Amino acid sequence: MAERQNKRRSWTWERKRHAVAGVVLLVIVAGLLIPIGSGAYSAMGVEFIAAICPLGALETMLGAKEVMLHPLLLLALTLALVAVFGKAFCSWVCPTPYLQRFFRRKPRAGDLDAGAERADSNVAARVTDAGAPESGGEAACAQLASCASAPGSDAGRRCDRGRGSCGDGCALAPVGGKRDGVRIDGRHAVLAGALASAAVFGFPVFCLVCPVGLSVATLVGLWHLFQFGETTWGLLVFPVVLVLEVTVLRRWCRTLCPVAALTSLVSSANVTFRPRVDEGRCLRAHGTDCRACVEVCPEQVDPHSRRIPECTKCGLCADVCPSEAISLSLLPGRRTRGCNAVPSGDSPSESEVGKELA
Amino acid sequence: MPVSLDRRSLVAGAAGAVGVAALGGLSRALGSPSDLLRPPGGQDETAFVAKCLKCDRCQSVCEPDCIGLARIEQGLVNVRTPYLNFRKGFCTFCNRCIEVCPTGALVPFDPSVERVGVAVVDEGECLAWGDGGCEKCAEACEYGAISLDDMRRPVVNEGLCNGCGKCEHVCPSASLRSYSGSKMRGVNVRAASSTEEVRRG
Repeated sequence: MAERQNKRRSWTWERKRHAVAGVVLLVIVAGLLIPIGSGAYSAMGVEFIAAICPLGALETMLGAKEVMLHPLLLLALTLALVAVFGKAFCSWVCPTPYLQRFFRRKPRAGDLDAGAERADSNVAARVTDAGAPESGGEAACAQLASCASAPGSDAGRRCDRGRGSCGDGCALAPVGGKRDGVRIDGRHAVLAGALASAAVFGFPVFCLVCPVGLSVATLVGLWHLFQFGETTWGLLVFPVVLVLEVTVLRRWCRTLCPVAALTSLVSSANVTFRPRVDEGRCLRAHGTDCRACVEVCPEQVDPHSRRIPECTKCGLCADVCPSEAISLSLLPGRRTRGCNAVPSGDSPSESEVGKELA
Repeated sequence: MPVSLDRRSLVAGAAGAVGVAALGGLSRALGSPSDLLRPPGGQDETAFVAKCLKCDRCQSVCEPDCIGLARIEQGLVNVRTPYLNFRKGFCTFCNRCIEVCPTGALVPFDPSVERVGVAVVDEGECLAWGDGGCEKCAEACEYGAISLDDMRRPVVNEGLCNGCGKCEHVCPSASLRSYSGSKMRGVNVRAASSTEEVRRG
């Protein structure tokens, strides 16, 4: 187990994300310097295939009042990617969270790193209360398995979740995330405004203030400055607007980003590559009031919940889970092991696995 | 499917939406020079600015390196959109930019009947019109669109020119007459209306 812990620490989801975001940025910079045609975030691709910004694609169609087959197919491709990977772009590719962290003075609630540290210490405290999670977990697991097999029994009643104070080994109710479920919020208002503006003014207006677009604009400005000695007001204007967006409008991603609005609508049906909780391993199933996964989540969702379209597949919940109960897997039930006494409603197959083992 | 509405956030979002609309109006109100020479297939300026996503793919893929990206000084509507800049190369009509354009801002282009622009001799900058002796552009033109008059000064036959920019690219006036401080060359390609077609037999 120690070996696994080490392995887990060295190649966490967080590090994988940083690596992917770094590679994407390198490809974009390479595209500026050599003729590979890779493109920027708004449409990265090879030859005639590109992952087009879904908001940008809709803006151009509305602005030109014309729908062409090629852009339409690329939009369908991107939406298919969103259906499979959910809002993964937000945490695996988008430069905005990195800039937010860089320009943030003090660690704040919801901040990835700060959240992780807080959750770590909280869990450490709670886990010390409850004893060693591993050994305790195994024992409680067996106990819970028995109550799953006999729902009417005494043990079954004791395990009834939602009634927290029934003593040791009893399953606690899920914490629930503030942003679980399908949400309509400020982002969707900005989305409507961005689409209407494109239609009225005849060009993709939102691109001018999109932090992703401004990041690339700054990169291009720097490249022109160093390669051609070309100075432009843009070299001042774009970074200033960008920094204002990530410092003053700190909750950009959760309240204003129209790209997230669009992808969250599509990802509301997403079931693939989502965090799966092995209920048999989760400390809550064994009476420990662990909230590590919910507290660390930058999107404020609970991986135990059935529908979490806002999940960006960042893997922080899996990284911080003290009992390694959370995995990001392609399909439901693939990596769930052990008993599953607490029917999460997450997926039927998980409960079935539990029953079989029991 | 239960949907939760966050009203406070909706208010902030509505303000953001109004801001985006205001920016769109401001960009249009400030105006923008419509004389940017677009890559092949982007000659319908209204359709082009509506469709361009500033993804940089055409600029990146251009082997002759004749596509530049517009700066903020060239209008908010045009920021980061591509335009032809013949300082480093000229257009070979290889079609690569059109192939990679993901939004159809660049549409298929036939250089034998369409043009990206038309070359215009600047008599104040041109060496041959000044002191004589230079025939670079006429020698370079692959379309026979530049002829020499009886004083051996270049004259553009607009009917044959498709705006490839080779004449502007080879023109030595900017380097030989750099004392004038002008960034113009002796022959420069200007945007031409897409309705004008190359009249070639």
